[in-house]
Amino acid sequence: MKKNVLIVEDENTLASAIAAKLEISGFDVAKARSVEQAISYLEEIPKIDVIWLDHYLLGSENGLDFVHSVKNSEKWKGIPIFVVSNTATPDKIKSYMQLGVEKYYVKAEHRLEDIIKDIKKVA
Amino acid sequence: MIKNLNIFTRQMSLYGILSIFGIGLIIFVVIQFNTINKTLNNHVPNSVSNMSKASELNEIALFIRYYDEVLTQSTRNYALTGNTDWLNRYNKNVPLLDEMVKRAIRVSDGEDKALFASIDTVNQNLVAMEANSQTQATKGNLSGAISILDSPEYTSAKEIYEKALVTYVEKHGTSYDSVMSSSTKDVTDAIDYTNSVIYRASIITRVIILFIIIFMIVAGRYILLSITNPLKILTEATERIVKGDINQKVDIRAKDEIGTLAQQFNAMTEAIKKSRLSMDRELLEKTKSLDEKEKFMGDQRKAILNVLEDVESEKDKVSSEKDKTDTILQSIGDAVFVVDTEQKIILVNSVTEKISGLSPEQLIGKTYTDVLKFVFEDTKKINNKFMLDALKTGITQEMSNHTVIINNSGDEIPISDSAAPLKDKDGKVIGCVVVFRDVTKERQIDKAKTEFVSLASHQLRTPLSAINWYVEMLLAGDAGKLSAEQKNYVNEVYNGNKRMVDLVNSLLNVSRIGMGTFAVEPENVNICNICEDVIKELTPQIVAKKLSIIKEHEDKKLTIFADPKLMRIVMQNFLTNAVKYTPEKGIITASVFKIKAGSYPNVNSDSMLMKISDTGYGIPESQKEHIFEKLFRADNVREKDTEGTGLGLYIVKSIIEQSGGVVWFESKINKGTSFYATIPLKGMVKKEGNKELT
Repeated sequence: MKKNVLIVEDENTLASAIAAKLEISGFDVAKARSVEQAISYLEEIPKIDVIWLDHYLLGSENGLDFVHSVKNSEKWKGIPIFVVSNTATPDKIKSYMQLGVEKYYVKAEHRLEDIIKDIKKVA
Repeated sequence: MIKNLNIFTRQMSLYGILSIFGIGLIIFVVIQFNTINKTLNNHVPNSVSNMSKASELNEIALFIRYYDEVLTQSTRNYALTGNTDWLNRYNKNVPLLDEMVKRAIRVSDGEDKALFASIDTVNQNLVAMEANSQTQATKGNLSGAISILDSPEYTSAKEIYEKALVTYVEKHGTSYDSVMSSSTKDVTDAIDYTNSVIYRASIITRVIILFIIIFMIVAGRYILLSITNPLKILTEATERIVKGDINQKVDIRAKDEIGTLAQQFNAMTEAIKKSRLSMDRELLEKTKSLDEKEKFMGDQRKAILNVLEDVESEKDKVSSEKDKTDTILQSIGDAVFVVDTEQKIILVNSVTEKISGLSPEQLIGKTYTDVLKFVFEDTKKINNKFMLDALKTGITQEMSNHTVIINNSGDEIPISDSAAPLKDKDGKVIGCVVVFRDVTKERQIDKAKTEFVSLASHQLRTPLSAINWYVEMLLAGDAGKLSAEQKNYVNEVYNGNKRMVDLVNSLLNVSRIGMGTFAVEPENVNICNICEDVIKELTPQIVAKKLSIIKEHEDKKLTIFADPKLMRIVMQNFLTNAVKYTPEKGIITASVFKIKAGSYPNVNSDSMLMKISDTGYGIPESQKEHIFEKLFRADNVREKDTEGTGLGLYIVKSIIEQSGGVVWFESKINKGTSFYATIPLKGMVKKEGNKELT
């Protein structure tokens, strides 16, 4: 059974690249561009195995807000979250880690396949 | 002679003489009284007694005649009448007569006495006869009674009796007045005599008294003058001495107390003269030395005045310096305050007042923690450490970031800056100067910059990431297998992208370093391990260039308290440069070891040294000074290699220097280069920053 990955990324090109690679790696993907969208996907799709999350998103809420919501929900708080963003502010990273995300990556420093390798470990 | 007696004797003598005179006078008076007394006692009483005697006798005689008559009559009448009344009368008077006669005898003397004696005799006779008569009469024999009375015996006796009386009367009756007058004359004489005696005596007494008075006056005055005259001389002499004329000699030759005084006075004058002379001499000498001293003092005073002038001008200078300093202080844009070693504020400037909202009066003299509340922004706890450290260690301390001051309105104002200890010339800490400024604006700017950088980095990285991943997928064949040539091209794209990513990272680091906002999170890191990792990363290039890597680590387990990311950046930079700028078959040596303070210039504490040496192109002399500048690449390597951002060494220098270390190099063109970087063994200090260096 294919695992589902929810990609929360506002940049289309990046989202496409990520989706392509994930699919090649054997995942099913859903792409959301905003927290709102992501939440509705979570509600619609019965099972999400992994969340790929960027920090800056469309709309007023950002990745942190999304993580808050997810972790506060009984249904979803168990889903591992991988934050892949280009910002590397220590505060942000600390906040994400404190909320209990799986890992934080700086986009530009990592190859897709490395990240996906880590995802495969937990998914 | 008087002058030789002492004054007491003189006085006593005078009193003595006066006493003698007095006694003499009294004796004289007493004698005179005696004379008068005698006269009075003798003459007058005699005369008076004579007088009285005479008068008394006369009186008696009269009485005798009277009584006689009475008796005669009474007896005759009795004899005649027999009336007992006459007898009673007779009996009554007989004793009286008898008494009279006896008295007369007593009182009188001489002839008179004999006379009355005879009268008495006759009287007795008569009395006897009369008694007979009376007897007869009583018997009733009147005739017989008369006959007795008429008898010749009786009659002759009577005659005798009468005759005697007459004799007396004749004798004395007429001479009564003469007796009286002679007696009176006697008394008068006596009185006159007494008067003359008294008169004489009073005259003499008066004369004597006058004489005594005159004597007293004269002698007294003489004695008095004998005292006061010499005294006057002495007094005058003394006055003259007082007025200044020392040459006085008193010529008093008496041998009394005054004389003694005069001698002593003379002796004293001599002594005064002598002492005055010696004093004058001394005075002269002293004046001389005093003149000299005065002259000396005058010179001294001139010198002092000169010094004072200098001092005044120095004071003015100092005061104008102070004014300048005050002006400077007040015009410093930052807040400045100075505390002493007990953390009491001794100086503030206007900016301090403005930021804290307190007046100098409220600040000066108070312990600074009472009035200036520096607190940590997050915990609101008092941040006093920077001050205490400065005072204790004598080293300037910076306030940690995120310090705010709570002003008197309760607002928090973010501040930054430092506390520098004030030291006296012996190097002892005597206080602390704290400079701080309101960094609210800076913070805002910082925040804006940070956000800009963050945003820029995000914006820049996003397309780079896209390129990265797509290229990655291409190379992995996810979009189809690539031909060898395609693969090459795509590789170039990938490499180019990688360089862009590096550049963006470097730019971000540089901007973060420039803002001082990068974080330092030290842990115990093993530098040798980091070194190994970096070498491993560079293996492809090392192998490609056939370079030899030599590791000379003193202690492979050496750890230091440092931020691993920053250490990695340093190592990466040095090693990448060494690899990049050494031609094929070159040798690169990496060594990490401990060094002692002072073993290299500027290395002030025991440190860990990282040394990377190569046998590469070296750095041209003329360009050595620019090596650490931003974006600088030396000409010789730019020709050989167009890669390289020129930012690496700038970043390394910033990191090392912010960690308290030193970075330098040695190089010889075409021979090789050695880069050195030290980190103090005490390690890096944790620093909060907005970003980490990438």
